[in-house]
Amino acid sequence: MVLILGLPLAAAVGAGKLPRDPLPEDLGPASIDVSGYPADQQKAYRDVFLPLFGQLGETARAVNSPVIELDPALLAVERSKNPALFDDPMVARVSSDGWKRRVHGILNKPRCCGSCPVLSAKQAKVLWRFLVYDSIARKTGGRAGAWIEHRRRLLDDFKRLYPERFETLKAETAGEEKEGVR
Amino acid sequence: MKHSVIAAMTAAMGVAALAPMGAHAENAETAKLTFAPDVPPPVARKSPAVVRVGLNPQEVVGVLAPGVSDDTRYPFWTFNGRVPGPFIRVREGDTLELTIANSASSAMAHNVDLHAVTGPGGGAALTLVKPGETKTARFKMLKAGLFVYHCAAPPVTDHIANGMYGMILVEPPEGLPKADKEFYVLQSEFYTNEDMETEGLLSYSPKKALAEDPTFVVFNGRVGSLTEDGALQAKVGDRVRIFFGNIGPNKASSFHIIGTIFDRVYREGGFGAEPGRNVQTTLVPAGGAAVVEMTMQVPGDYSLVDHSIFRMQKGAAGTLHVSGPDAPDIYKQVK
Repeated sequence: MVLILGLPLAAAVGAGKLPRDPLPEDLGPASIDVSGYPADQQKAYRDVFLPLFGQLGETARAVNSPVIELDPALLAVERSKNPALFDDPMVARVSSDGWKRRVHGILNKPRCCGSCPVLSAKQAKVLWRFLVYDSIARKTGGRAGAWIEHRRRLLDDFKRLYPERFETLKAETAGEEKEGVR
Repeated sequence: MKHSVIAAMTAAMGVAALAPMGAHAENAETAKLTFAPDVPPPVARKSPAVVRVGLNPQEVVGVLAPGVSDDTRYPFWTFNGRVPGPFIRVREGDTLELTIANSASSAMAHNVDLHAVTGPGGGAALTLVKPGETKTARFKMLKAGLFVYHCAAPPVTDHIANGMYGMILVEPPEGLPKADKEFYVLQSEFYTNEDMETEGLLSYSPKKALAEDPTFVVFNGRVGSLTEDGALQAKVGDRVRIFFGNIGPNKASSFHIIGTIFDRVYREGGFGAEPGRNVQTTLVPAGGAAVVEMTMQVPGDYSLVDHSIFRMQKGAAGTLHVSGPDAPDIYKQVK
């Protein structure tokens, strides 16, 4: 039943086959409209973001991620302007190092034969800057409301399709929050 | 003429000129030291000499891993400002004259335990220097092999865990067979209170060290020292020799280079026995070493790893880049 419902939705967003351990992010779009971004961020999206996450099969996961990274000053401003962004970590995970830690995680993945594209230290800096810029552009300020709505829609769909997995993720997220992991 | 040769000749002449009348003028030279991954040239002399080496303990903050917004840095304890410390190359029968100078600004005492030395503490007892002290000692190099050295001042655990180590090669009397490329690679662990993804200045965790739970396992003192711009370089047809050490301080290393079979392995760094042939992975204990040799036959990138493979994610990964013509008779895609 789950698979029957899941496949058309996955196909509809162009994600094809869902990963073995799906996340709500997998149900969303797999591209970003970067036409309004500065030229260097458009280049970062084209040259680093898409090839890397495409290779990993996780483009939608990155595009629809709840992670938002803000420096401490901006974080305080955002907290006062958009308190709803801080209500539910399943919707938005705001921190001062969320993307940094995830990019480190990718950077530390082992490289073996050299035939697969790997993230160089230089590309890691470019990717991190793009992810921070993009999450501020699409998820904060005047766009925060639309982002919250988008995430809630993904979570509702996911809960309907994968109720057990949803509960597992919810418990994991709550546990990470308790440990201070954002 | 190379600077190292000039330096060696100058040193030798100086000593001869100062030798007292009637005394036997000793053949002496100043060692050419190199930092990883470079290795000093083979010893060209045919007779033993006194080889002078200076090791200077220094505490320096350096990069432990490249970061994305800031590098991950660590307060290293070093010999001569780098981790690992310099590579020393002498020949069996030489006398190592070691001078250790601990600066007055140093926070602690240091010394050197060379595994190549025969005598109490591997020389540690003769070289213990408090801040501001300098000592010199002589050690006869009795046995050929590749050895590690490290600080053994109390607590020895912390001095090793924070970066005070290096390697010394004692060539056999006849030298080693010619190699086209020689590299110095030393594996070690770092134990930090912070996790691996933390940027900025990290701190040493004696608790994690005691639990033998390293945060980082690295080649040549930092994550990425042998990748990208730091990759080792060779050509098809080159006979490559790697002087590989493992200082630990806790873990043994299962040293392997993906896509190669070692032609020769001088196990545990000893030149006294026949080398192992056609070896895939060699076990190098903490405080041990091995010399591996291979002739590169197919171009491409070869990964240096500790085949306790999850350590790659802690930083134990390097690249040997081999350039040259394809070798389809050995390696090709069919379909």
